Amino acid sequence: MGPILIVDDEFGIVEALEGFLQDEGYRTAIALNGRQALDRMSAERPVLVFLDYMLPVMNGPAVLAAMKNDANLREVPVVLMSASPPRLWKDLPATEFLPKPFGLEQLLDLVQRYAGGAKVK
Amino acid sequence: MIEKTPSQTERVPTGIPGLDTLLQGGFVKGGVYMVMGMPGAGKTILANQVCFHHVREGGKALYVTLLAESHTRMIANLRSLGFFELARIPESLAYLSAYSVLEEGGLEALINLLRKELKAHEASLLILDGLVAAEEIAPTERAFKKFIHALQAITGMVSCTTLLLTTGGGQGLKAEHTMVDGLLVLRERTFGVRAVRELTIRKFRGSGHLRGQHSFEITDSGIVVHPRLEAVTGNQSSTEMPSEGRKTFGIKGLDDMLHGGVFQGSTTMLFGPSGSGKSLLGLHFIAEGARRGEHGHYFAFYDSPQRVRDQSASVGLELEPLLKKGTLSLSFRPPMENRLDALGSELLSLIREKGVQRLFVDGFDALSKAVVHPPRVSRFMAALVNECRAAGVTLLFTLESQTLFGLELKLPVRGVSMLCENILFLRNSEVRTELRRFISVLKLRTSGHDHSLRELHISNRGMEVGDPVADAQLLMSGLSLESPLLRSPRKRRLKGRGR
Repeated sequence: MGPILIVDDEFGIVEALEGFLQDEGYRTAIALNGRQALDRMSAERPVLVFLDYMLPVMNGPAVLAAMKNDANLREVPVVLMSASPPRLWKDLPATEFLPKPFGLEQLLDLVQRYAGGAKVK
Repeated sequence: MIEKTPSQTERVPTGIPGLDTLLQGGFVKGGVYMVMGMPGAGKTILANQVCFHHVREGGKALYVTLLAESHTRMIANLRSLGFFELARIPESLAYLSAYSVLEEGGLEALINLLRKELKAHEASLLILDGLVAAEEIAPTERAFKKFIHALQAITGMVSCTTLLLTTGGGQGLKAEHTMVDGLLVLRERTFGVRAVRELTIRKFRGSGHLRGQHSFEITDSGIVVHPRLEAVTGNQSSTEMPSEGRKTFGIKGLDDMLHGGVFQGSTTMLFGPSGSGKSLLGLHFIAEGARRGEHGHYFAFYDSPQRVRDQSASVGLELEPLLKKGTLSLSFRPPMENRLDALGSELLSLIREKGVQRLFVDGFDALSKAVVHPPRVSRFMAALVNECRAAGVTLLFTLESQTLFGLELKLPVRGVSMLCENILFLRNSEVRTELRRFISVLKLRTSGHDHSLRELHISNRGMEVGDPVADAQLLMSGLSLESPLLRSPRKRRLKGRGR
């Protein structure tokens, strides 16, 4: 079972999500930009991706498009996170949208829904 | 789409009197705030007071210290304060030392501990006491910034409002100051032999707040903040209540001089030397209102309530029935170490909460002595006057002249007379071999008035104002010259006066 991939250029968010998910018994991987995210996914297929909209090097929509063109990644659920207005991103082919800031409950609900069986402990 | 939480405007009240006024309701929920101050500034008391209020309101709080001091010692010191409730510990309010975790595992171990403990305690308020220890252990400034950033992300996700207590490690602006949502600075300053505690909100994201320095004190009940009166009223009192007409003194001669009294919502200065009758005149005014069912309050600096009762009774002014009825109230603040804004808070409460309609502040000079920044006196008074106008409260205050006799007469404070619609001038005057009291109306804005001088009589029948004085010269200098009036016998002069 692959990790939950957290993609965000804000170090604090990455560290918080990683910590909370690891506390819950999930394996995690992190990436701080879109290119790094695709590299991580090609190395190991994740069970779920938390993807920020605005990222350096390659932004969230570009990562989503690349995933949709990749047969191995096409079906991986993606939660798109953003502090920008929903009208900018609500039509993108993500599985869920998570406006920032969000709460721990919302995060864990989504993880349970899309990667509930991926707990390693 | 998942709904956005928490709301950016949702507040966490501090429960500290005055502080929520400064913060316009409290901290923003989920925000991270830094409370800075040197040891003894009051940070720990402030944070604990916020914690106990928070748990009384149904929240859960976690107090984590990074200092070597034990919680037992801190709790022992807090026990005497009114807000402390042992029964809240540890279910609602948990204390935790992270000193050894920080020492052994650094910032990474600390952030892991905080994340797990916040979740385990379901804390909605976190206090991190001794942030300077985390700063000292951080290998680089960047590492410390990352720690703050991670803490913000974690507390934001669990909607936990956070207070970081620190000495600040110096006066300059530091990176972490720019990262947090708000910055509160506590300090103690000395003015001569007086020590004054001050609180400043340097930064408060996402909300307005009352800027500048505000005084606070640590009482048996905990911290009480006194927002600057001019800051509070400047924000709120923009409208003026329409006047409902004249307010009488109940002294016929004087009410005649004023063509029926002073206007409701106006401010009147009773100016004169010691012993000229200012206090008794003010008492007459509020007692007259109280007899008519208007709540009057006497705010005294020099006379205790018992002394006021006795003195009034000795001149036939019975306050007791009015006090019992509740239409008259007295307060006494001896002019020792009063703080101007503490007095301001009391006056504001009388006007806004207690429904006072006639307010008599006896001793403007005591207000002046309570100020540590002298230029504030006139601004404070302007704020009080505006507040009274807005609430339709008729204000009287006394101002003592510095000289008892003489031709030269100066107002001891600049910028105050122009705030007053009305000025009544009282004077003791030497008339041959006796001292007599006289009164005149220097100013009665928006109304005509009697420009004559009249004699003021105080006897066991109360205060009376005589007929206009004719032909006398320099009476109000305190040194009268010969005149037909002064040669006439006293009985004739009083004939036909008010009552």
